[in-house]
Amino acid sequence: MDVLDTDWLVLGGGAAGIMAAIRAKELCPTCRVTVIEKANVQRSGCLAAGINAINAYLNPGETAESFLSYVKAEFANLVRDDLVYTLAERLNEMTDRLVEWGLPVFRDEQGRYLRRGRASVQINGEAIKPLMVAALHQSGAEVFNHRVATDLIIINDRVVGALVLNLADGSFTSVRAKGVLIATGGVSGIYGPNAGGAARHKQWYSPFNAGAGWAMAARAGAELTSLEMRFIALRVAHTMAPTGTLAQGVRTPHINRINAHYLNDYTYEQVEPTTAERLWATLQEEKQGRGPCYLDTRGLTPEQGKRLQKAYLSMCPTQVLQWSDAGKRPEEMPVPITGSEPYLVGGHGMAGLWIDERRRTTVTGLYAAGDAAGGAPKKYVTGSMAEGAIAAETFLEEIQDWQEPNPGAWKVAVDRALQRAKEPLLFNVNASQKTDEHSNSIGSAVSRNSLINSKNVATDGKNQIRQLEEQLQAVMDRWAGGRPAGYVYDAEGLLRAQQEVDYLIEAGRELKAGDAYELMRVHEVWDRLLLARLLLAHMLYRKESRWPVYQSRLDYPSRDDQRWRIFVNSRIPVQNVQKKIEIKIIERPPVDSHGTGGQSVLSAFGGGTA
Amino acid sequence: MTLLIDAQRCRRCGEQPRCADVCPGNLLVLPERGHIISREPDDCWDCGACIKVCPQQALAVSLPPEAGGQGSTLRAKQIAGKIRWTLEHPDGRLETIEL
Repeated sequence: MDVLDTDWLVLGGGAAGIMAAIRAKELCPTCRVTVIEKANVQRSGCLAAGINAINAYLNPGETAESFLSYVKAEFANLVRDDLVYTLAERLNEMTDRLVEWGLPVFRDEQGRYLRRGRASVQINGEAIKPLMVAALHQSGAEVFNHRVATDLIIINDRVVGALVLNLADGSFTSVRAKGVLIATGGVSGIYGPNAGGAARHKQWYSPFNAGAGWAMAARAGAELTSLEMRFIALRVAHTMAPTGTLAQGVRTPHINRINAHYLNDYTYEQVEPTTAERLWATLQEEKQGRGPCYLDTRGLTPEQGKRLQKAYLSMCPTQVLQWSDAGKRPEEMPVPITGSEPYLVGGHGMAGLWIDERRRTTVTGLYAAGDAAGGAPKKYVTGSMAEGAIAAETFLEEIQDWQEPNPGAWKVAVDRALQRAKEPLLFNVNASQKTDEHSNSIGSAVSRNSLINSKNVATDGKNQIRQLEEQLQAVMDRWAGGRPAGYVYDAEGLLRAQQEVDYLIEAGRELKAGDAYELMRVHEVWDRLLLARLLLAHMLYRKESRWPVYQSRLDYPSRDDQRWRIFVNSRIPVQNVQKKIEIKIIERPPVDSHGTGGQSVLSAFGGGTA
Repeated sequence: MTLLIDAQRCRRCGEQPRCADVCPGNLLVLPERGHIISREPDDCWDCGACIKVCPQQALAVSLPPEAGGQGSTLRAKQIAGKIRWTLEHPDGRLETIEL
C-alpha cells in the first residue's frame, strides 16, 4: 500500500478545508499541505451550484459583539460565545479574500459591499468554488480529488493520519500527518427527502455529504455536541431552492393559501423576523390548514423577475425550471414554500464536533472547522473559512509537539483501519493480496484487477445499499421528528427508533460492495447509521423544547433555562467501537464570555425567558 | 431521471470527460463504448456542474415529475468566461439567459 507523508492533512475541499490549506501554506510555505476531496474540489460540497449572498458579514455598524448577540438571540441564548466571537472577528477578512480571488460583488453608492440583510451582502457566486480552487492551487497545497478517507489512524490516543480510498482504482493510501482537519461538511440523508423516486436527491443540502468526518472522529473517541439541534430550512417546495433571495433579497411577502399575510401574526412587527421564525410561522399555517404558503412575487417588475432568474441560475438552477414548467414568469406566480428535511450542519445550526476556541477537537492531533464543527451557528461560508484559518494557525503552533509514530504501531493501526474499510468487499483478502504481489499494484484489499473483475459479478449490492439508507430515513421520519411527523417527537418514539436503528446497524454489516464507488456508498450508510444513533441519544437526553421546529418535544413542550441551558455532548468510548455502540452523554456548561447578554427575541414562540 | 444525456452529442471527450470529473456525487461514468451515463440517475442533485463544463451541450437538467416537472430543460454554454443558459419551455420555446 502507498504511504504518503504530509504535515497538514485536510479532509474535505469545501470552504473550510480550502481556507485551512491556504492559511497553512501562507504561514509555512515549506510545510506539506494535502487536501483530500471525495469528488473534485472544483464543484464539490454544498457550494457546487454556487451561492448568491455572503450571509456572514459585518456590515457597517456591526461588530463581532453585535454579531454574537444576533446569533445568540436566534438560537435560544445557547451558543458557544467563544467560537461565534472568534469567527465573527474574521468574517470581513474572509469576504475580502473572496473578492480578491475574483468573486463578483455588488456595491452601494459609497463603494461598500451591497447589503442584503443584517449580516448579509449580495454577490454573484456562481463560480465561488472554482475561484476558491484557483487560490488553493496558487497556494502550493496539493489536492487529491476523488479520494475518500474511511478512518483516522490513531496511536496512543493521538491522531497521526488517515486511511484513504482512491475512487478511481480502488486502491488505498495511508496518509501520515502531523495534524488532521475534519472539514467534510455536514450530514444529509439521515431523514427522508421531501419527495422520493427520481426526486430523492432534490434536497437543500448536498446529498453527498454523509458525515464521514463526524463519524470517523466519533469512532476515534472525539466529542460531538448538540446533535439534537437539527437544522431545518425554509425552502421552495419541490425544488428545495433557498428562499432568502426572495424574502430578504427582494422582500416578497409571505402569504398563505387564502392570500393572507401571516408572518405578522407570529412576530413583532418592529423586528425583522428571523429565519427560524419564518419557518415556524409557515409550518403553523400548514398545520392549521392554511397551507401551502407562498412567497408572493407578484408585486415584482418584469426586470426584477429577470434578475431573480439570474440569481437562481447562480445557485439553484432548477428553480428557473419550476416557473417555466408552470408556464409563468417569476413575477406572475407566487413561489410555494415549506420546511426541508432535517440536517446536521454546523454552519447553520449547532450540531457538530465539539471544539475549543482554537478549533481543536477533544482528540489530540485532530481539528475541525465549518459545517463539521458545532456550537457556532450561522457561520456559513465566511465563518467556515475563518474556522479553517484558525485551525491552521493552531496546528502550526503545535507542530513542534509532533513525534514520529513507531513503525510497528503504525502498521498495526493502519491494518486495523484497512480491515474495517474493506470489510464489505466481495473478494477475499488473500486472493487480492496475491494479485498485488504480481502486479506490484497498490492496495492490498481492492486491487485494480479485482475491481475490474467485480464488474462481471452479478450483485444487487447497489440496491441493498439504497434500501438500507431509505429504511433508516423511514424510521427517522416516523419516530424521530421527521418532516411527515411535523418535526416533533417524544421519548416513546425515540426509543422505538433506537431499537430499529440498532437493527439496521446490524443489517448494515451484511452490505456488500462490488467496486470502489459501492464501497464508498456502504461507508456512507454506515456513517449515517452511526450518526443517527448518536442523534437519537442526544434527542432523548435533552428533556425540554429549546429550539422551535429544530428541537421540539411533545413530552417536554416547554423551554427550561434553569436545567437545560447546557450543551448536550456525546462520545463513544474508543475501546467499545468494534462492539455494540455505547454512547456516553456529557453535559457541558455554557461560557458567556465576550460580555454579551444575548437577549432572546424568540418569545413569540412561547416558553422564552428573555 | 433529471439529468438528460443527449447520446448523439456526447463525444466522450477523449476518454477524460470533464462532466464525470466535476460531478460532486461521482455519478457519471464512461462505459467502454457509447456516451456518458449516470450510474444512479435518481441520485443526481441537479447542481448543474456537469452541464456547465460539457463542450457539446450534450447534458441538460430538468425537474423530475415527482417535483412537478413538465418537461422544461436547461442547458449551459461557457462563452468567454460567461455562462449562457438556454431554457427550453414545455412548448418548445427557447429563452437565453446570460450570466
